[in-house]
Amino acid sequence: MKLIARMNLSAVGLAVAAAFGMAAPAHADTFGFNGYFRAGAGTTSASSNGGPSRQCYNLPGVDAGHYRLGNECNLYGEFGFNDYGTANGVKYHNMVMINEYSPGTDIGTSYASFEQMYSEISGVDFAPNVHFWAGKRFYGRANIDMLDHFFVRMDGVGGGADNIGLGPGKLGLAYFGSDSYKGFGDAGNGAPVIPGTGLSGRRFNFDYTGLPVNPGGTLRITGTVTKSNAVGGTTGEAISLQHNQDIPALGAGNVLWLQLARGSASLAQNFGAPLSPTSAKAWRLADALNWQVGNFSGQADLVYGHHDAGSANNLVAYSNGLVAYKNTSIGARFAYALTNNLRVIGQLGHMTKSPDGNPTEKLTIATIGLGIVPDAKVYYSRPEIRLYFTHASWNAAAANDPSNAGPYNGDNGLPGYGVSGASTSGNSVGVQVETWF
Amino acid sequence: MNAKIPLLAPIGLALALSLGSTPAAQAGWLGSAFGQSAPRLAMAEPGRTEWQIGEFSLIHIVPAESGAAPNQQPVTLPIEGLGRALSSINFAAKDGEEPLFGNAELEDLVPALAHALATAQSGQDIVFSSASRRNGAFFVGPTAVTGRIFVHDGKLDLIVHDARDNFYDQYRGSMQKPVFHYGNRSVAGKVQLSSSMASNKRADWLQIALQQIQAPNAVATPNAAVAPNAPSTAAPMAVPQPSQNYPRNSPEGIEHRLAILKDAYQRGLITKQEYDEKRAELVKAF
Repeated sequence: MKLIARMNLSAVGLAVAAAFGMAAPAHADTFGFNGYFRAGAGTTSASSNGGPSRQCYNLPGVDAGHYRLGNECNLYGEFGFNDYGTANGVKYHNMVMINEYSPGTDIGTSYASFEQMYSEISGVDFAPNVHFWAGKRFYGRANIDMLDHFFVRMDGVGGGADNIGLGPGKLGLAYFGSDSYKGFGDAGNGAPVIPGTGLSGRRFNFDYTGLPVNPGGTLRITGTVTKSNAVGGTTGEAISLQHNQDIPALGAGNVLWLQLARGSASLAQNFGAPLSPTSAKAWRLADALNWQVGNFSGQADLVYGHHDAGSANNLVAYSNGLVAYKNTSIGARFAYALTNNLRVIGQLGHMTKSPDGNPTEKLTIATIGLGIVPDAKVYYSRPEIRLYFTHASWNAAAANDPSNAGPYNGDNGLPGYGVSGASTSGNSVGVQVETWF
Repeated sequence: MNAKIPLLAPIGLALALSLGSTPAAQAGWLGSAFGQSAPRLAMAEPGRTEWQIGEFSLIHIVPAESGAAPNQQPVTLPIEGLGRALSSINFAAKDGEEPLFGNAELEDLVPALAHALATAQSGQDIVFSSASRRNGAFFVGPTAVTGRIFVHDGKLDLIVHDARDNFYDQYRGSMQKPVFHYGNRSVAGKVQLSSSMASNKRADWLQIALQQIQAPNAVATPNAAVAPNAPSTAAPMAVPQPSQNYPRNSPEGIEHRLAILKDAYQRGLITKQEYDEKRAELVKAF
């Protein structure tokens, strides 16, 4: 019996095949394309007379994401090409992904890059259940979707082995290297921030997943060790405990993280800052609850963090110098199905940042809108075409955070830095599509 | 072995697609019944408990359910026969009956399942998730078939928990690996299965006689619970038996193969399109 030959399809080749009327075969798994994109347009109450075309609102300098519904002023897409195959009884997987990001409506000032290019091999004779990989890849991501923030993100360039059976769970071991001490967006050799120092670094991760700890609950333990090669570069360690709990009564579940990092490692288990003192620590507690009950679905979050002065996400000095800060985030996002395909969508979020010796910064966002989706009862049903209205309010302390000092481009941060009497609220309306495949 | 075709220029790709879509390539799991090479048998892989076919398509050897009678594994089954059996399975979808598995999906799944059956021991079951983008679509997420397989009392047992687990949106939004459920012996699931090669122990539980899988030109036994819209189960025609050995491509050999083909169509083992395509090929050779 002949097996259908597996082909790598370029996007152009695929279009040509379609144009020739070739019926696409039933594709196994995620062979071929996978990806994500979001795009849309909007306006604000301040847009007239030279005001910003759009505004989005994010508490500056906080490592906890932002409330994203009706609050994304960028255009972004990821397009991945997967190939699964068999050679000599061994399974392999090749993945290439490109992305396009623009902080505006369209691609004018955008940049594109290869987000992933790696290979994975499994089923080898000396370790049939282990997956070996090398290249550039997303790795071990865990997020709170409504904040568009990854609480574990080991992405980078390296190699490793995972799916190693160890007791009831699985173990992954990986090594990553970087020429400019970045987890992603490596600027490469020859582009150090401090001339002549070299900011390269090494990172080792272990990741143990699927340890059952209670009925319906599993524990994930992720650890990181980093070493910066910069002059004065430091070592770093980080650990993350992640508990996943199924809650059948809610039709979904809960995720809880407790994370600690110090030195040149980050809370997300990646490279932090290459010169952070080993005494500079950061820790956070984060929780996300999902529910899916009848027509009503959604997600709620709670985050609390503490960041020492000089830790990975606290390198910008206030008027009283480099100081520690605490941050909180509490919010919820919901969807309520009106019909099979139309739903009301909404979000309410409140974030604070309290730098020692400085006033507490506050930001509150509320969004209401309508979403058109394939299945309005399913929270993550995509594609979703949205029409939204967002109101945000903040205080002057938030607008004047030193991390907000760069020109506000409408995509991140807050308007009104350094402007006495600047408005501390804004309204935005817009239309957007978000999908994955 | 899979033939790996390197990346082609667009025109070259279109030509390859147009030339490559031969009826022989589309003969699917009945190819070996029509004179192709001897059936392939899966080999045991001692120590192996997982086969990862795709990102969400996995086969695991797991301990059998508590209280289950010992299974008959390990068992070596012809890959083609196993493929025929699984390709014969339909389920009751919203708009009528649909094949449980797609052809491309089975191309990957069946060899790995055969290896797992040849490897698993009597105290073990095989559970699987098979994800696929269905109906020829690229830009939609895959859905998964999930099930449990074991061999007992001379039959291959398949219990399906989900015929179309719509897990992908949840996975992309939460970035948590999907948790698949595989069905079990004691609690009936909601899927309704049917197959002209199997009998229903339960709506979600099929049993296929090993003889059906192991015979190279297996003739289906009628399904005791015939699902609506199933092909007609007319009485089988008398298949001409050769009075002497003759080459497969001789007129007598082709006549015999045409008779088998017609019988397979009448029993619902192949679709009308497959019957027409294969018949045209044989008539041309005649």
